[in-house]
Amino acid sequence: MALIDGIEKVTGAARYTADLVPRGALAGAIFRSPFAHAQIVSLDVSKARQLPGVVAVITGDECDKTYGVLPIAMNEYPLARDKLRYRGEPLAAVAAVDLATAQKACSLIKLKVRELPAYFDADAACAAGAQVLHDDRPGNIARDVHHEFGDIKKGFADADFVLEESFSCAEVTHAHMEPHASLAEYDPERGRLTLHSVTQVPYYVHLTIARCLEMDASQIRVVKPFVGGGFGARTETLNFEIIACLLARAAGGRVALELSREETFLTHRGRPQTRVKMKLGLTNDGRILACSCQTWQTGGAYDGYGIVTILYAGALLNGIYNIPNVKYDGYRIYTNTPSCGAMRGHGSVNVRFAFEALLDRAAEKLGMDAFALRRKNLLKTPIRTINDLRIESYGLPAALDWVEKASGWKEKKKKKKPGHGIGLACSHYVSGAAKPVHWTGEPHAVVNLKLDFDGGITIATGAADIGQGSSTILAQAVGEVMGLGFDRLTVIANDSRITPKDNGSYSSRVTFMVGNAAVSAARRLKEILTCAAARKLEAKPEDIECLGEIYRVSGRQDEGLAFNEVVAEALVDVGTLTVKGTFTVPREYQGGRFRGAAVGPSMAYSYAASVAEVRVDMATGLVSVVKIWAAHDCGFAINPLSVEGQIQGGVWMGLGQALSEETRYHEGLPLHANMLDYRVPTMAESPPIEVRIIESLDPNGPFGAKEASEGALASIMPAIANAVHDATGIRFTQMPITPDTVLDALAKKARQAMRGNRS
Amino acid sequence: MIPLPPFSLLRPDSLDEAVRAASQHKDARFLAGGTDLMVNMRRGLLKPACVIDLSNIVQLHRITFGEKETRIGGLVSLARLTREPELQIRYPVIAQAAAQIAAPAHREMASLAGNLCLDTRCVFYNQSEWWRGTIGYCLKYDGEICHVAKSGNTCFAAFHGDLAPVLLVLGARVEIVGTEGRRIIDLQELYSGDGKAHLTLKRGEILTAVILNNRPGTVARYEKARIRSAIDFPLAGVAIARANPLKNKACLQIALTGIDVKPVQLEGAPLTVSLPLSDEAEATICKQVTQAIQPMQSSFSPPGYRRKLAVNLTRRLLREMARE
Repeated sequence: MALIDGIEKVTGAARYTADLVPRGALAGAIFRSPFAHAQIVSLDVSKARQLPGVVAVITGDECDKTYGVLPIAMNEYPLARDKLRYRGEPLAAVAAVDLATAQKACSLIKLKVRELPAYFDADAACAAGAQVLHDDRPGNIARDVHHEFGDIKKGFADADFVLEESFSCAEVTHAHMEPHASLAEYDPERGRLTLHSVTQVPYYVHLTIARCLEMDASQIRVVKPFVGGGFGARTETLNFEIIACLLARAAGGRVALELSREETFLTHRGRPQTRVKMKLGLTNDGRILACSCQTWQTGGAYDGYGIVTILYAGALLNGIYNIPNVKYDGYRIYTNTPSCGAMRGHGSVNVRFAFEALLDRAAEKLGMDAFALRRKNLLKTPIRTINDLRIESYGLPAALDWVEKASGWKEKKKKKKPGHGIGLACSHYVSGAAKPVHWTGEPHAVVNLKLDFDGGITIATGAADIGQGSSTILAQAVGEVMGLGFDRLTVIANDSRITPKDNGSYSSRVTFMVGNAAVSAARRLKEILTCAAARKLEAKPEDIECLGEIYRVSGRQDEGLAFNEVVAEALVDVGTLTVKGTFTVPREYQGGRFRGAAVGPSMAYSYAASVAEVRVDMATGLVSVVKIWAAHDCGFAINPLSVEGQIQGGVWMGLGQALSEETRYHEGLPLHANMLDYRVPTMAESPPIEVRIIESLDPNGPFGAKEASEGALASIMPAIANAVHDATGIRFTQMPITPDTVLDALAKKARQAMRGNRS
Repeated sequence: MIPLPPFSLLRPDSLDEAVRAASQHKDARFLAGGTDLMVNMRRGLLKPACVIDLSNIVQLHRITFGEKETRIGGLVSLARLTREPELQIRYPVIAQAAAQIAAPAHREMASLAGNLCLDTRCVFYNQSEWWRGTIGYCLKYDGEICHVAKSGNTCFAAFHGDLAPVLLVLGARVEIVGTEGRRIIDLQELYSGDGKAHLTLKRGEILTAVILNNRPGTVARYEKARIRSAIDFPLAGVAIARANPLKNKACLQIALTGIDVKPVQLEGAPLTVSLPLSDEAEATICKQVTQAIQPMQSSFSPPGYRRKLAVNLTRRLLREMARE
C-alpha cells in the first residue's frame, strides 16, 4: 500500500516550509560566531540597524532564557550571551525586506571578543588545566555514567578468555534532504505567534518558544508542514526556530528564516565522534559471561540530547544477547564544535559496532562460526534484563536463520573469492522511549477522530510525519479496526490549534504508541456506530456485525445498513461524533529505579541481523559493498512497502557511516558542510539490499507491530567491518573505513608478512 | 539560503559579439555549462559584474570529423561526448572518461571547455564566504596565507578535471579566440602551474575548440579513483595512450590529474618501451610518476595516499593495456 501523502510528494504538490513564505514576508539572516571559544567584549549592531530595508536586529539581549530538550540540561541561549562556544554559533539576527539586505546588515555587525583556548577533541577538552566551556561542568564533562549490573569481576574471572579492543567512530550527521527553515508570524495587535517549522517535535518547539519568548503557550500556534527528513536532527527545538520567532516579534510581522546547507550542517545535532573501549569475557564454548564498555562521546558545545545519548550507549549493551554481567562507563565531553544530538539509532550505533566487531574476533579465536556464536548467546524471552528492560517479542533467531540462508553464508565461507569477504552483525532498538522527556502524567499518545454527516473520518494527530510514513500508519490502523478504506479517511497532523499534543517523532515511538492510541480511538468509534446500528436494526449491539461499509445483524439474511445510514443514526441527538483514543505505557515497562534508568526502557524492541558482502580493491583501497541481506523483526509490518523502505534507508545510512561519511573540522570549522564533501552514498555505490521482514507479533504493539526504521542501522557498520576482515585479514577499528587507511593497513600487513618470512 | 550575487547576463549569438562584450565589460566571466562557475559564484569565490553566456553560439557546439583531424567545439556537453557515435569510434577513451565525470545531471550541463578550464580545488578554498572569512581567507582568493603550506607563498589548489589527462595523451591542441584573434596551442600550455591562476588564458579569451590529429592505431585508456562512484572529483586519475605499436615496441604517453596544481604529463614522453613490458620498465615508469607529481593536503584524502593511488592506477592500467 502506497503512502497516503505519496502523490503530493511525487507530483511536487507537497508544500514544505520554504514553499509557504507569503509575499511581503521579511527575510531573516543570522550573524554567526567566527570564533570557536571567546568571551564577548562588545557587539555593535548600530550600523546594521541603520541600513535601509532593515526592520529588526536582535542580539542575545533579546532573550535571557536558556533552552534545551532535556529539562535537566538547558544550557543554551538562542543567541549567544557573554560567551561564544563554537564557530557558527548564532550571535545576532536580522530581519529585512530581502535576503541580500539582511545579509548585508549582518556584514555590518562589529564583534569584539577576548579569545579563549578552544578544544576540538575530547582529549584536549579533558586535559588538565583546560578551561571549561560551562562554569558548572568541571573538566568539560557534560555527564559521566557508571553502571554495573551483575558481578563484573566474577564474570571476567570465570571467563576462559578475555578480549579487549579500542574503537573509534567519526562524527556523522543526518544530511536530511530539506535544509532547515522556519516561518514565524507575529500579530502585534493580539500578541499572538504562529510558527511553521521543519520539526519532528512540534510540542517541544511549542514549549520552548513559550519559554524563550516568555509568552503564554495558548498564544502560540505551531504547525509542521511537509518535512523533508529529520533522522533525529529535528527531535529538539533548534536555535533558528526560536530566532525566527524572536525576529518576528521584534519586527512585528512575518519572518522567513531559511538556512543554507552550510548553516544546516552547523546546526548539526548529529552522531558524536565516539571512542569505545570494549572488553568481553567468554567461555571456550562461546558463552559471553562479561562485557565491560567505556565510551567517550565528543558532544560539542552544548548539552542537547547528550545525556540521553551517553545513557543509550550503555543501556543497549543489554537486551540483545544474554550477558549476565555488564559494566558501563560513559563520558559525554564538551568541545568547541557544533552540538551533537540524536541521530537514527540514537546512542546505540557506535557501541554496537564495537561489540559486534569484537564478537567477530571472539568467533575467530574460538574457531567458531559467527552465527553459531550468536546463537549460543540468545535471550530466552520473555525476560527482564539485568538493567530492567522487558523483552517480550524476540525475532532475532528467525532473523539470523534467514540471513544465513539467503546470503549463502556457508557456501561463501567455504569457497572464498579473492578480494571478497562476508560479514555478519546484529542489532536492536527501542520502540518508543517508555519515559517521555517531560513527565506530565498525561498519556503517552492521544488520537482524536471526528465523524460527521458526510461519512468521512478525520484523524487528528500530533505525530510528526517527516517522511517516515507515520500518517499512513495511523490511517491504516483506523481503517483496519473499522474495516474502511483510505477513501473515508483523512489525516490532519501537526497543527497545535487542531490536533492533540504528541511528544513527537523520536525513539521510534509513533507506530507503537500513537498507533495504539489510533486503534483505541477507532475501537471507540466503532462501538458507537455498532450501538447506532443496533438501535436502527432493533438488535443487541453484541449481535451487530461490522463489515466496514455495512453493519448488519449477524445471522440475518437482510442487507443490513450502509455506513452512511449508520452514521446518520449515530448523529441523531448528539451531532458530530468526536472520540479520543489514548495510550499509556504501564509503569512496569518504565524501567528500574537507578540513576539513568529512564533511558533504554521500552515496551518492545526490534531486532535485526545483517550480512554484508564486500569487495576490496587492493590497488586503490576502496571497499565496495556487493550486497546486503537485512532481516528485521518489526513485530508486524502494518505497511510492508514502507517497512522495507525504512530498513533499506537504515542500511544505506549505515553504509555511509561505514565507508564514506564523516564531518571533520579545521580548528572548529566544518570541512564537510556541503553535499559534495559530506559523502552520503549515491545510487551508484548503493548495493542491492535484500530485506526480509520478520514478524514476531509483539503482545503490546498495534497488531503486533514495533519499531521498523532504526534497528537495522547499527548492524551495518560491524557487518561491513567484519566482511572487510574476511576479505583482507585486517580488522578495521576506525570508522569510516577510508581507502587511505585500507592501503596503509595492507602495506603494514605486507611488511609484517615479509618480516615474518625473513625470521 | 545563499543568494547569487547580482550580475548582468549577456547571451551573444556569435564569437565576435562575445569577445567584444568581454572587452567592453571590465569584470566579465564566460558561462558555458555553469556547473563549476555557478557553484563558485554562490560561494562568493568570484563576483563578476557581467556573465556572458556562450550557449547561443552555434559553432561552439559543433563537432567536425575531418580526414586529418577531429575538432570538438568547446561547448559540447560531457553527456554528448559519451554518446557521439563517430567519437566513440575514433576516441573511445574520451567517451569513457566523460561518462565517469560527476553525475548524469552534471554531464548534461557541463561542457568540454569547462572541464578543461575547471577551477583548481582546495578544502580551504571551496567553502562559503563566511567560512573563508573566519580564517582570514587564503592565498588563492582574497587572502595572503596558504593554509595547506603555511610558510609557502604559492597556491597548491589542485586540478581535478578528468578530460585534460586524456586529451594530453592524445596530443590535443586547443583553439583560443580573443580580442587579438585566434591562436592554437598545445593543451599543456593552457596550464600555468600556479594553483592561484591556473590557466594561461588572457582576459576575454575563450577556449573555442579542442583539435585532435587523427592517429589510427592509438589505444588509450583512462582510470580514476574516488570515494563515491558518482559526483566526487577524482582523488587521482591516469590516462595512458599507446601509439603505433610495432611488433615489440610501444610508445607510451602518460598523464595524470587530481594530484597537482595542473594536469601532469610525464616528461620525456613518449616513453618507448619494449613489449611485453618488463617488471623493470614498469617500475621505472611508476617511479617517474611518483617523481612527477606533487599532491598536497588540498583534499580530504592525505597526499601520501593520492601519490600511492596515482602509481597503483598507472600500474593497473599498464597491465590492463598489456593484456589487450
